[in-house]
Amino acid sequence: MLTNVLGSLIASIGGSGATGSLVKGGAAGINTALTNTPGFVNTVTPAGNVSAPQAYLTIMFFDERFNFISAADGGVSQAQVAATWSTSTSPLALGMVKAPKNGYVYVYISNRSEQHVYFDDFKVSLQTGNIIEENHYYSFGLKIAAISSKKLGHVNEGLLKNDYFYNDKEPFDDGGLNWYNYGFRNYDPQIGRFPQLDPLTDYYAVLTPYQYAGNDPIVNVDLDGLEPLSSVNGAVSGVTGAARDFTYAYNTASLVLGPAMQAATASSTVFTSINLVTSITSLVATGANIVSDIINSKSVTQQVGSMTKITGNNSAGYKLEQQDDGFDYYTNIDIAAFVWAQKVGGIRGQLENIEWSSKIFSKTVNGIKYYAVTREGRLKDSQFAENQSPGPDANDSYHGALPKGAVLEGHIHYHPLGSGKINESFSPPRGNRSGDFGMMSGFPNLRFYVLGSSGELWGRIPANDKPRSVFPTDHDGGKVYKVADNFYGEGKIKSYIKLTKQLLTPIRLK
Amino acid sequence: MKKNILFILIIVFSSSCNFCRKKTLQIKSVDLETVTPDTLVYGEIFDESRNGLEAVCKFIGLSNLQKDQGNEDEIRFWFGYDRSDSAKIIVLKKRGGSWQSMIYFLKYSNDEKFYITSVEKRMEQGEPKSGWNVFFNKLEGLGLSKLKNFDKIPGYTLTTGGDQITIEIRKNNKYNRYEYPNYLVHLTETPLKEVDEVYEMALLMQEEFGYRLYPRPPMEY
Repeated sequence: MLTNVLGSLIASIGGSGATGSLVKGGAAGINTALTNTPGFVNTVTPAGNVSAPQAYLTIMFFDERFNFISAADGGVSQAQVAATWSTSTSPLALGMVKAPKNGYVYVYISNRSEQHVYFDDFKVSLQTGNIIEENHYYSFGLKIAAISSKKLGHVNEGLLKNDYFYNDKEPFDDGGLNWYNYGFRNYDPQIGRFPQLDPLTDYYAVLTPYQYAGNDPIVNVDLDGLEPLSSVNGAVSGVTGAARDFTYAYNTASLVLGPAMQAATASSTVFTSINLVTSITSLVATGANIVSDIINSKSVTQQVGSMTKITGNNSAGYKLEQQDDGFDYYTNIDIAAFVWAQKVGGIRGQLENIEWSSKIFSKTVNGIKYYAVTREGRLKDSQFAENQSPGPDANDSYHGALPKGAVLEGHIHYHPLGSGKINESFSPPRGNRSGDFGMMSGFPNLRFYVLGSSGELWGRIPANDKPRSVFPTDHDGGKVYKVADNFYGEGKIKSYIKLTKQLLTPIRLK
Repeated sequence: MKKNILFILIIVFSSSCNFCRKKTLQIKSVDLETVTPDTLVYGEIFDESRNGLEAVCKFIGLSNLQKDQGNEDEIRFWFGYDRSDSAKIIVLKKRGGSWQSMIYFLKYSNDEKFYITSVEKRMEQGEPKSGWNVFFNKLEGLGLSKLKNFDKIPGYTLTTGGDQITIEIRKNNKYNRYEYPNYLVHLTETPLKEVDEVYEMALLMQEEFGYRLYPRPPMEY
């Protein structure tokens, strides 16, 4: 039986015009490869109800390189003809079977019983899914345009927009830059480098401050523009597929949570591929709800190396990807402002003489307050946009709506490079103009930040607020304090607040 | 001797320290009813700015005019320009039963803390082309007596920086002040009828007196 199926498959590969030359060339080798694949052999020779006819309708899926997709990953659908022998006809159908990924499908009927089984009225119908977009990348993330394609949207289909590309990152293509937004920095796949300095360059003295993923994108990914994360070491050795995703999710969650995660795992059993899912389940069950939140968020299920992102429910019934609200959260408001200054103000402020601003908001989850920043907005009329940007009460057309459950906490804007004086911060009231202070006076309970025209990030504590513990003591009691400087400079950003991996790691919330 | 030098140094330092400067208004007369915006924080910020300018210009605050200094009606329009070193103040005052107009062209400089240190002042007197009655009728038609402070105008949002108009009205011994910070954005992007009327008043004065208010001075910081 196995020989028959393999022979049929190899003949199909060799004769198919649609089959890739790579697969055709290796067709002979497929014989050996598939013979040694237990899942494939079991599918071809299933151990069903032996008192019934050993006749089956089988659908097998192979990926684009003709690798067999196991039953656990949704690659096999099989039905036995009937429970007992009978001379009457009985229907045999598999219903709607969804292809787990792009590739090939092999549909066949088989009978290895000694008695004859007649198949009649055999019908296969194919309902193709809509391929909206297909992207291929070089290892450093540059799109291979020749083999990438995108469907043209029909007028009734609305906007066919893909926000996530290489390594699940959003593009930053203002001014035709074609960069990726990695959170802390933007990445240019055309040169395989970050154009901005690595904020953690002090910790990686052997690497250039502009390197991406440790300069080894085959082994590593860069999560957020700060550090490379090994896609090999990030997973437990030997774990593949969904389990590998979980491992990666676990490791990332561990990275985010730090001590909290370690405490939660203290009572867990050894983390192996076998109890991988169980371990995470038990963590959630033991009260580490935040683990659940992070594991279910998009940021930890992103693509690792060449691994395909799993969507929907996996075989264990765990939903790996759930919608988060799309914002990067931080546990400290100064850090949220710092990141904005780095990824928005520090770039735009040098490129164009227009002020942009964002609102800062918070969400509280399990008693912990997380801060995020809205998208940046500017005044549409260029007559005013040079020295004005929308304030905290601007309508949603400027900064977008706050997500559900969010609380407005503050506001941040920048003054373009060279538009003011050295060490200039918030524009003051002067000669019957209100300046930034006029705006701030309207919101006595909000915190304000401004990236000054020479690249210093300043914060202003509301009158009744106490300075946070992360502030250096020389700012204690002051209303306006410096958060960091040199955002517009060639040199390294000098920070006056604590910058740690844990504080700087963005968190996604539902 | 050392103590004396130290004492002198402290005195000098204190007198030059802008943060230490306390600007207090001394109101001796209680005849005047003062109506200021409800929100104190707005008042503090704008008072500080305007008081600095008044002090250098040797103005007496309109809310602070005493009876013997003139308690007749007076209207002051303040035009402040963001990122500019200029301001203009149009004063319409009734003295001896007749109206007078005066415009102050101000150019100021400030210290590193942005406090105004000196002002160049130029004054011009003017008469409305249409005559005072017609001029005031036009102003009334634009809602002079129905003005609202910006925080009472629905939809009035604030922006980072921007030009500002302030209108002070002292009439029948009552004082009102209306602030329109960063108002330009509410002329075009998010138009508000109330702001448009204030802008129309400014254009009316430009036309009637020939004062050049618009286009605004060039951006200088």
